Amino acid sequence: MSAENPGPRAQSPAKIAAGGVKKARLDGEKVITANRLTDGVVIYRAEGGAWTEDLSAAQVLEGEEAIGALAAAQADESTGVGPYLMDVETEEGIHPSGRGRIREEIREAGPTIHPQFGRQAERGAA
Amino acid sequence: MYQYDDIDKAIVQARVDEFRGQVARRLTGELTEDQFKPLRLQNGLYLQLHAYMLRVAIPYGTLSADQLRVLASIARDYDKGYGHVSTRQNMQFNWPALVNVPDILQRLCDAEMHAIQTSGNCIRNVTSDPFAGAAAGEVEDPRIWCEVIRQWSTFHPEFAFLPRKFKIAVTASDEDRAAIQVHDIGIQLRTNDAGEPGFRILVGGGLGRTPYIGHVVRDFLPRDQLLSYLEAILRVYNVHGRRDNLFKARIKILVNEMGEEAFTHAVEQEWEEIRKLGPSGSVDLPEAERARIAGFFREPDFAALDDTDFRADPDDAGYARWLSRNVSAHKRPGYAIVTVSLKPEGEAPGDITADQMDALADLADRYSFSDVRTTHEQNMVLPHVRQADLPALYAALSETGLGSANAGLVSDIIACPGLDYCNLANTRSIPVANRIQKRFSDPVRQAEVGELKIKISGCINACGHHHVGHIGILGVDKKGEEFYQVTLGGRADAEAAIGEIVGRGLATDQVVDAVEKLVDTYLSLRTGPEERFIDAYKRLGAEPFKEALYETA
Repeated sequence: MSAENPGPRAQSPAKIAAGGVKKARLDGEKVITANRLTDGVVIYRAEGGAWTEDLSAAQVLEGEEAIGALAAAQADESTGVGPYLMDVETEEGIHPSGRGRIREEIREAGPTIHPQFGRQAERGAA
Repeated sequence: MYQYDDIDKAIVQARVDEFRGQVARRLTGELTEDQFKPLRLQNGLYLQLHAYMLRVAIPYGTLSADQLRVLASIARDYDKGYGHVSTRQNMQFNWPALVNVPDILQRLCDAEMHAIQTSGNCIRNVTSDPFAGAAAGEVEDPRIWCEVIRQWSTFHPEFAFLPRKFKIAVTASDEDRAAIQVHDIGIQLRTNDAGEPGFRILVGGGLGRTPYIGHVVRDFLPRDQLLSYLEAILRVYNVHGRRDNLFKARIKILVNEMGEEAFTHAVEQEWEEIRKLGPSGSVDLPEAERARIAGFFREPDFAALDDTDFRADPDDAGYARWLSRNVSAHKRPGYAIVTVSLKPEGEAPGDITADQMDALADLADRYSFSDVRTTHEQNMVLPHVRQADLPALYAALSETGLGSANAGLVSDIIACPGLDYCNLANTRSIPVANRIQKRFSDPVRQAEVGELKIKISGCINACGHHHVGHIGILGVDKKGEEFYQVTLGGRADAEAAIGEIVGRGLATDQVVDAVEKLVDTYLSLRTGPEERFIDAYKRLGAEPFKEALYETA
């Protein structure tokens, strides 16, 4: 380890809670996600602070901008419960990535054992 | 079964009204999420991956047919048409909207049910033998004592904020169907040499990330002293249990850190202090109150029947398999206990649809004195069925998709909700269970393999009881990929044991092959069909199974 290559810990000092259980690093592209207060539905934060059920309409953020937007989302408790930053990649749309990929794909689509429930069902019907 | 008195009704109704107000204040912003979260959890309401999840208490796994219909109506009106039987004999609904939960709780309250103490660091739903009151050899119905404990522990102010959650199970026979050795407190009703009824008390069992088998702290406790003794145990735990580390806060850690002897001594000392106070300081139950509660668990009005030769040569192979696996001996001649499997191939273990609940309620009315049970193995039970009614019952169950003849077989898998629903899970559990079921789809092959308990957890919290599976499967996250660790030789019966980890984790597409290798190894090494998997494992040890699992991988 050298000054030019300070190691992963120094490169990404900020650890952010994801989903209350997992830890993620403040690297790369992020989307803020939460569950909707009234019914628990998975939602994503769009530009301007509105919430959307559509991941493709979410605002993609990085670095301090992501942290700032997360703080704003946490301060506003009227719609989103437990907001956190999820990793995404943005080639051909916005898709979950990183260690939480499977979890976020299931949150986004619905339980893999019940294709008739969740957004996957709506897409199937469409 | 127990029926609410005016006090029960008043406190449950008051809780519903209180929660209705709390939800309203959360929605208007008067309560913050941090303030609201513990309040909703105290009413069994979690927030999971896709939605809220409401855990409804089924005290000691006993339901009336009418209560089951109410659960069906909730599934239909407020959820997505199904409920899920949990490993604490409760029923979980996976999709309720927060705004509807007060109405759901009201509907439960009207049917003498609730979701109180199904979450939080308190004494949770007391579980019991699903064959209670029906199995031969019981000292008395264990549910009497479950109900006594339920009344004592509900809203007990001293034990509302324990270091961690607290789980008690009660059984009354030598054949343990309630997994009492892996509970915070396990209670076995028994008689002493003088023939007097009392309890064996075990403390410090549990699963999770640090599994332990419970220690016997009292081999015989006189029956009328149960509550003061439980109070002493809980008090020692409350005072000395760790609160600095979530993962070391369960009583099992305290018992093992203090040592069995020191812990027992502390409990006995505390108990003596309580008893010194005399009747005014003791919470022990007056005999009249015990008798009042026992009155709710009187035997149903059994007919005087003779046993029949109902197992003799049935024409239908499916019915024959069902008789062999799902029908157990009843204490009364002419009756039988029926396990209703919630493990049809391809469905989530423990799921039951609203229509199935209604159908089962009707069958309970018709064939089982309106009595239905849930089991910690995620099945249901009709406890008092006339042997002569078995063919008609089987036909009716089969018609509604509840006729799976697999109780205790390789496809009767316990699986936690896993990453398909759960906020804590690392990996999925249910799809693994479904793939194993598919591989062993042939009922003849399943019968040949015989009793084999596979239990799957999607994370180290072990809600799928993998530690006590004959074959246990634990999901672990490896850099975002699902891997599964296999344990062998666990069991939750009277010879309870924690399974042994046999080697490195397996990729998700290797798990079913691994289970098949284990089964094939067992079949090739068993002394005969009468030697079950777990017996063969006990005789042979892990080595031949390890070799089979990792020989070429």
